Amino acid sequence: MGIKSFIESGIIEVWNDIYDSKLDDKAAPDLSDVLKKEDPTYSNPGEFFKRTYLTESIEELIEDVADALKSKSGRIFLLTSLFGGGKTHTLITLYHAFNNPEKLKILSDKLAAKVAEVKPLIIVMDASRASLVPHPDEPYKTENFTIKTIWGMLAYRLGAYAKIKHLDSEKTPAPETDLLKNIFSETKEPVLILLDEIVHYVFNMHKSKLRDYGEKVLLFLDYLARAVESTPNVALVASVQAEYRTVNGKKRLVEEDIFTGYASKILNVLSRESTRLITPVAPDDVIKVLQRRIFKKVPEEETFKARDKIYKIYRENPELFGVESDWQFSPENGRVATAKDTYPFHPKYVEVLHEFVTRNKDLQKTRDAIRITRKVVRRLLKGKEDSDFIMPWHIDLRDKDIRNRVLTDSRKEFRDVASRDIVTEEGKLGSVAECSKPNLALRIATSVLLKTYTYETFKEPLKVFPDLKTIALMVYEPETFSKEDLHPSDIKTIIEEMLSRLPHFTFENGRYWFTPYPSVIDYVERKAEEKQIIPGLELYNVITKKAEGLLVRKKEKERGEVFSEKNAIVVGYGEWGEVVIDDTPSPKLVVLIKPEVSEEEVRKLILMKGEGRRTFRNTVAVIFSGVAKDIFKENLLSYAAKIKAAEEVKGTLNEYYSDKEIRSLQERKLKNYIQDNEKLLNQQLLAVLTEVAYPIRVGTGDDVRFVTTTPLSSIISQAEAGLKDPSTGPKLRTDFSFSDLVDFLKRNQNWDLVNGEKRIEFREIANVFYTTTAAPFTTKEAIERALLEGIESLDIGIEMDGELYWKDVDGIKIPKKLKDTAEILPYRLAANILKDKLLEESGERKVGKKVHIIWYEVELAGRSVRLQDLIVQKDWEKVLKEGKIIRQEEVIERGFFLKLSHSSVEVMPGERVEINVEVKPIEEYNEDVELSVDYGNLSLTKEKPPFNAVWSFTAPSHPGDYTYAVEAISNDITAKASLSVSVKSPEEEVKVDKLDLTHTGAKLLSITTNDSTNLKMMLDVVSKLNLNAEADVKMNFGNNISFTGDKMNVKIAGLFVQKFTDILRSLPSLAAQSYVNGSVKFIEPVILDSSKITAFAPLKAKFRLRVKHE
Amino acid sequence: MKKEGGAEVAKPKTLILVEPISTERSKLAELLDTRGVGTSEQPKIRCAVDALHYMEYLSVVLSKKKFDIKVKELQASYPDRANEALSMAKIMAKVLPGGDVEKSLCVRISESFIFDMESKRKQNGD
Repeated sequence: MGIKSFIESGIIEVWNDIYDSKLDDKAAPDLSDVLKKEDPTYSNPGEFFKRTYLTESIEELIEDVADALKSKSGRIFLLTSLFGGGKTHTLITLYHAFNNPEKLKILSDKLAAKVAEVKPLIIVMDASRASLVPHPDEPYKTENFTIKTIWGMLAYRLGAYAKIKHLDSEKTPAPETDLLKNIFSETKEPVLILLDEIVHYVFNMHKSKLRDYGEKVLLFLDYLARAVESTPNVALVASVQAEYRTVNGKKRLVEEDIFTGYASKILNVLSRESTRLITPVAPDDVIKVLQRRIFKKVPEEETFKARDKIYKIYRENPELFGVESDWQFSPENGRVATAKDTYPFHPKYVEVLHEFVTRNKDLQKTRDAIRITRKVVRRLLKGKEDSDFIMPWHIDLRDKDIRNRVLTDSRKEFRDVASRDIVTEEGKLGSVAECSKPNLALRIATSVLLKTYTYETFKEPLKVFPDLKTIALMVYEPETFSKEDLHPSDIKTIIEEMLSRLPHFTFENGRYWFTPYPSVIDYVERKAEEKQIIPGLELYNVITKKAEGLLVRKKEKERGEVFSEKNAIVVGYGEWGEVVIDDTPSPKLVVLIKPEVSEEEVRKLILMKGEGRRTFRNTVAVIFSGVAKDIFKENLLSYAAKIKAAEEVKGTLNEYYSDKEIRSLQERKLKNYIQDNEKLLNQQLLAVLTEVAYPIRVGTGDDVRFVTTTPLSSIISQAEAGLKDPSTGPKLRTDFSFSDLVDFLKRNQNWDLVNGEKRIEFREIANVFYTTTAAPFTTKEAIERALLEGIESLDIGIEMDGELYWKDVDGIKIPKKLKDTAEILPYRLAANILKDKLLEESGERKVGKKVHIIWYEVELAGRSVRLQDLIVQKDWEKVLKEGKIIRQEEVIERGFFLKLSHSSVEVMPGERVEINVEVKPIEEYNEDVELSVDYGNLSLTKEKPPFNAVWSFTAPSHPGDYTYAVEAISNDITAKASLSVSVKSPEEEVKVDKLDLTHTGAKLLSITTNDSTNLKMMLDVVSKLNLNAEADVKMNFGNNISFTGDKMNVKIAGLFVQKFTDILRSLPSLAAQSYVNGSVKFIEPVILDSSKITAFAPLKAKFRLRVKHE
Repeated sequence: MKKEGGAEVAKPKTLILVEPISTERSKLAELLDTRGVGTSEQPKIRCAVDALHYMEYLSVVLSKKKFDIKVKELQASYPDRANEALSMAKIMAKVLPGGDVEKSLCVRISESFIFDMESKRKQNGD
């Protein structure tokens, strides 16, 4: 709830006269007004006292006058201040106080009691009214007399005109002291003379043909002062338009310019021993005077609340608002006032207002402070704002009335400044409109202007000029900021913008101010406008150059995923048609700086090289303007023109400014201006370059598609963001997996990297990406990464420089870098190369007298199979790929050794098995060797080696693994060999990637997938078919978020997966870093029929089945 | 998450999601403290949401220039989380309904990176 709401709800009350603009000038009453009954504000003592703040000096004055009126000697009181300092108001206060002591109780009971003790004759002498103080050319006519002089009028008011009638002429001497004393003695009651505007009067006479009379008036005033001083019960209170100020430690009389010399003369003649000088309104009284004159009622409770509210924000932002002592109004020689004391005005409002009404020669201090504040408050009440405080910027320069009152003739140079930078007389925003938050810029600019425009020095940063903290205090207003969603930190942001966008706004040494000197920006902008009339190549060159610098964020060492500064080509307006984009196997980004680009032009760039067809048709992407020609020109060319013009002016600044200080000030301004416009041009370039074109396969042909991207921080990043948009494929990918690569090559080239039979060079694969428009834009590194992933999973091997990179006894061998000539081998080819190598290394080696028998075994699922036995089996390459290769070596020192034709066999139940058993001697061995087996029969059981025997038996009828042994004994030498027999089940488990009708009758055990969409579909199908199953789900989102569900109900699992899929869909970048694995295990195997197969067939998943052997 | 009152044997059943309820600096700081992120120069950023809330706080406290610098520091220290947070801010600045506290904060964040003069002019009704 702000001030306006408080007033509307009656919590705070303003005087009704505030609403009447005609009464604004009544803020400057004449003393004579008290005698008229037209305006009760001044003539009615009750109304008058209600609006009067009794300053300490006025209170003392009333007391002293009351004392003087009872004293044996009279006294003179001189009210000194410049225009609007409260002199006339003080005289009116005295008039009403001594005329109606009862009403004075409104201000002070004590004072009213004291004043009531005397009942003086009050003589009101308003020298600006001939009716009250006549002069020879405008006499005052009564029924019996014509009064021509000031002294004549005084005598007349005292009822002693007869005594002075002979001197009531311009030609006669002024009455001397004794005569005046004599006149005073005519009246029995005390006499209070209230003399206003006497300086005007004397000045007026001097500047007319009544100059001699004017001189006599000065003499009269001298005599009058003497007479008053030596007469009991007389007090003279006179106002003088001058005041003493301390300048450089010395007290100096300051007069209003127009009355220079006159005010000091009057001050001299009226200054006697008993004369007292009074300053009616001290600087710290200004607050109370304003509050009293504008507001009828302000509850104290609200002052505390408002203060606490704003102080809370100040305390939260100490780096901006400083400390508590900064938040007060601290006038020179006055008491400090906090926001509570100044409420509803902000302390900075009082400070700024007081500063400029005091400093501006054309303004009348308190009087104009009241006039302006009346307008400000009235505007506030009429408007929509509901501020907590009345701020300096409420002195709104959009209001013609306020503007004219503030930007007066003596500061007329600032009218242009205000119009150019802040607001024109017609209310149109100036350069503040170019800031990102124009309203805030308007408030900052208004506050700074009001704070600084009355200082003569505009070249250097005076200490009185506001710093960031002072500006923040002048501008921040809680209710307004909250309503406009502004934050204190925005103040600094906008000031930074203003420095380059407001030609007259200046900054140095931490101080901000407005300078009226012709701004260099004006010259620049005029020049820029000329350049824009027929924008030449030079402007496009500026834009092209900026675009080159904007390809990547160099400071952040930004790199594109595919495109870089090296492969980006900026084509300027002038180069159009001349630039040919190379047809090479590498990606290229073409940046077109041109207002209007046709689809055909872009198509030609991407798919053609000059007139010929481009070979590497998938290498060129084009980014260009997505806005209309006019907007392109308006947005980009205007900034380019400004930059170009500013650079030209910068080089010839001497010609514009001869003064060194101003030149350096403007140089800084220009630097800020160039920087800001460069920044804006950069932003505009990014905002404009939003169309990205790329090649695409349509049917069997190549075409070009377009995508709109959003502005980011560099051209390459936003081009890549557009190409990564899911709607494009995405067209740019560097994060694809090996399986993606396999799928792509299978689909587009019909190359089967994993299960194929041919070798493919790395260079060929890379070229597919550069020539096939169906491929994404990518890098060789990305392809290489995917291929290395394939080696890790052993789906492929690589042969490079005669070396096989695949599996080995020691693990997997992975190359550090792929050469273009590296050959990619499907895993079967790799397995064969490895097999040949291992078999070559196998066999018996005679080392000295010993025999080393070397062989390789492949261990898989706890079973070891000799390589020789393995390679006769179907799909042995798969087993070699999956199993562990173990090198075995046996050393036989003497006698003989056993060698079986197979170390393991896989057979069906009851199948007949025959194994050759070879007994070989070491060196020479002539003893008989006896053979025996623990299962089956031998064709020969005893013989001298070397010899062969056939071991035959029938395989067991139950599926399972069996181990049988053969033993050879001769003397003390025993040799053993074992045979593993695997009796297979009539049914076997198989894994398939797709279900079809050939699987009818098979038992489905489980389904697994790594794709979130397929997982969701899979769970839905299982749920719909009402199959008894459990689901295991594992999902990782980036590095820190994961979800695991074991043995979940399928329906619930489906709900979770749905939610997660939604999240991934809305955050594509998160999706790239995510991993999904889900499986459904059937508690009872599901016998597949055609309907179930149809339901599961669309899934991309792995199915585990149990099928019967053929 | 806030622990619910009641007997120790009873498990808390209420999840209270913490999100900005005001754009006031103090309230945003309170949120960061509640999440254990803190408002110091070295915040504890454990995920993109932490980074987003920290950026929301900075967008209110710092001028645009300083905010840009600070976000770049965050990007250097926590590239994934900071970039994810910026993406979230960009999306939320667009999709959240007008008047939503977080929308205005996200708009402040995204404005620092993209300055679209056209939209500004339209906003100002020029």
